[in-house]
Amino acid sequence: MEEGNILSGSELLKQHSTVDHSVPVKGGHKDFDKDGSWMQTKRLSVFYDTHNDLLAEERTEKYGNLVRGKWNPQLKLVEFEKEMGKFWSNMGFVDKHRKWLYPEEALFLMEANLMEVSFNELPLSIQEAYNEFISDSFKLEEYQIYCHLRRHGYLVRRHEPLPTDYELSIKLTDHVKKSKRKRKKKVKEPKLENGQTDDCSQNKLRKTETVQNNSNNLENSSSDMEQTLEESCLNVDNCDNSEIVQTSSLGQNVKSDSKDCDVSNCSSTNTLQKSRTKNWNFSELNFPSIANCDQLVLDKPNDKFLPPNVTPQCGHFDVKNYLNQTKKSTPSSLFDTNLEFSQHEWLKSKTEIHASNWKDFKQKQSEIVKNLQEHSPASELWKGEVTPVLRPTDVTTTANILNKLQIIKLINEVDDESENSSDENLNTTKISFDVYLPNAQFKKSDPGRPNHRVCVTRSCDEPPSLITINQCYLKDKVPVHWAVIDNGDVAFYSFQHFSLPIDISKG
Amino acid sequence: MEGEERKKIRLYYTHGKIFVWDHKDVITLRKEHRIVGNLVGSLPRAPRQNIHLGLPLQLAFYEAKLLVDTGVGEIVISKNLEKYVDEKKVQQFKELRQKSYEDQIPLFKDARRKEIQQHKHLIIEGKKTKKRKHEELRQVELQNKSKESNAALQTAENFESQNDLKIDQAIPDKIQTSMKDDDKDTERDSSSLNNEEEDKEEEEEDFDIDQIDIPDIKPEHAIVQLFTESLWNIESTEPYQDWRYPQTDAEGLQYHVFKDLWQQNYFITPGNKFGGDFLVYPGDPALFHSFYIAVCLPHDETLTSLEIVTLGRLGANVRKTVLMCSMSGDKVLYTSLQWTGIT
Repeated sequence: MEEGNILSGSELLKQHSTVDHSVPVKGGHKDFDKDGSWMQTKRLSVFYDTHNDLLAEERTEKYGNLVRGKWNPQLKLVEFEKEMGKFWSNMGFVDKHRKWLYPEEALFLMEANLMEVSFNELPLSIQEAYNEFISDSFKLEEYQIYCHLRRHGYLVRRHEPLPTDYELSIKLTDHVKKSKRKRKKKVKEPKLENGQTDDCSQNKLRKTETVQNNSNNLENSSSDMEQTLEESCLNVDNCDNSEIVQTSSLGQNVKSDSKDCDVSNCSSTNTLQKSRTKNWNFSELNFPSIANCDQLVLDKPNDKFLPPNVTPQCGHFDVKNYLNQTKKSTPSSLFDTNLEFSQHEWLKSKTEIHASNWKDFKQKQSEIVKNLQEHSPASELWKGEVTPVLRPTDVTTTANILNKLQIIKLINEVDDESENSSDENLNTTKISFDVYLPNAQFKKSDPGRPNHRVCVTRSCDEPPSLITINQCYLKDKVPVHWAVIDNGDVAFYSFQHFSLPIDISKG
Repeated sequence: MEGEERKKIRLYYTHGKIFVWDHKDVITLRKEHRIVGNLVGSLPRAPRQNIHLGLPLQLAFYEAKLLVDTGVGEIVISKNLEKYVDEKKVQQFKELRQKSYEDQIPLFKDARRKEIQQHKHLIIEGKKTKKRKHEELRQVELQNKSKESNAALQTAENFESQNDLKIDQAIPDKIQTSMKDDDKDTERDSSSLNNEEEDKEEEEEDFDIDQIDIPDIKPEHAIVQLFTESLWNIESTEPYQDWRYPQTDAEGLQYHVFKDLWQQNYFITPGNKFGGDFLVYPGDPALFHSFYIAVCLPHDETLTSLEIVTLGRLGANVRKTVLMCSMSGDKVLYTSLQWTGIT
């Protein structure tokens, strides 16, 4: 053990009680050259003394005020030993039983005199933590930026990938949020036997299948079925740790007021989705065919499987009328009257394509387009070396025309996957952090939209590619900053966004 | 220094960076070797600000290389925790903590005594008021007793005992709050203490502070040291041979320029923020303005006049002279560029 920096009991006490939290002012008057004067020498020695005193100060804290954690070198995480402090609202995460901190969070707390992290019962110094906590997955530069922002008071979380457009369109993001909230309220129900579950779900499925056929029998069996449904749903929930909560007592509540109906309805879809791949026999499911008939008789579907406030169409269905309606709604008449001058007859006449699969379809369609191009009245124009930019087939929308005329592509319109993956920059300059303004109401389970995003580069690295920055920025308009670190010196830069006015509205 | 044999300054190689963890070394480097580096850690006394940072000191590679070449420092690397953390060290650390805790017990007691001494008059005052109130109460009771009949005696007694209780609680509270106002930080365990005092000094107002039995502080109230530098640096580190610098021509040029300027007694800091390679100061950067921006350019690189204008403009805007530095053989050549202002 090196004794050099260990404070004795009295030194500790003195240091802790007399610690001055003020920070000497930086800057001030500077000279341009050495003049050898007494004043300069004096100022220099004063500076060295204060600098020395400042650096020589050790970290001291009342033992009871420290949060304690254990370093887990395999997971590269810090596990809480003693319960957490205020910072828990914006740091760390929970798995099944334990509370964890990311290494950068733990290291920052250590530097802020709030935490003691041990390895095999041995409390670590900050130096050891630097050695141990930083890894290839979390670089030192990233830590320095993290720490810089935290010291400023910002709340900093590791960057969460943005939901994709698809996830947004199916509202998966809402679903995740809801499920998290509900899990807390989960009611513990005794688990049913496994055999029974299978029984129940099969029972239920068989009934679902028969729903369309025997609407009469349904009334009798519905209460019975609801019970089994609920039981099996709850059971599945218990097994899967999923989000559905049935607060009413098990199986007794068979009244179908709208709220209750909602819950059971949503739970049934949930369970069905889980088990139908195995058990649903599609050959027995009848979808009414409207081909070759004028009138169709529809059975009333079970209310249980309908969303609330939806009245199903039942009884007689006039197929002929329906077909006429759909025919009318196709805007074929529009072409004839208005767009005759711009679109020729050979364009608007839609040829039917018969294909057995998509590949076939696409191939046939491209053939047709090619055919059109070759046989168009203007095909003469493409015979020479210089050809028009636009083909008659391109004239579908204004946007399409503008697109064709734009020889230099806009970078923010590049969202082609293949183009991104070929970009090597993408790997080196990823967005590292989501930054939030200090806010007492901040919840890490639902952080909301960050105020800033930061990616980290060294001064010798390339700047982040426009694609990285734009892709992120365009999705939710959160500014992306670019932190440059040069031997510990931190500077932030950002790209400003503005668009030129557009005079043509894109259709 | 002065013939005295000096240990080499340990430069810790950590994840591709070089750090100095000993505060004495940091000062020595700056004062005697004109190596400034960059403090990157949080300052212990005020960890949540970026104006003044604390240990560790991060060195640029050219600074570290210079220290190695001049024999001032050596590059070391830390072993994995698993390799050096053992029972013995855990035990050593526990003993250290225990000893520190035991050392603090009498110190805390002394502090407590001083505190009581300081507030002695308040405590005595409190005791007096308490006694007076007791006295008054007793008189009221006596009067009541004489006035009221025997039948009402039962209820009166109830009332009296309730009142007694209230006052008993009220007085220590009062003392405590007054103490808290005066000295919040050093106030410790006062409630238990006050109770004891009361028991002891029931009759007499004055008391002897040395006689008071002050309980030991609890371990969680003891002050502990959070170590910035590792305690096990001798056992846990080994010299690092594999550090390779400079690796590229650009790095080689940068290092030579740095070394040459350093040998001319300048202080040199990184100049990226000003768009160059180095900033050159006549003395310690804390007290002097830099007067050169050094830009390293390979000897054989052709420059367009626009690039030279760019460099000149850069220096003119911050009132510094631009030095274009390149190597010719072993010698570093400097070309200075100054904006004349003639248009």
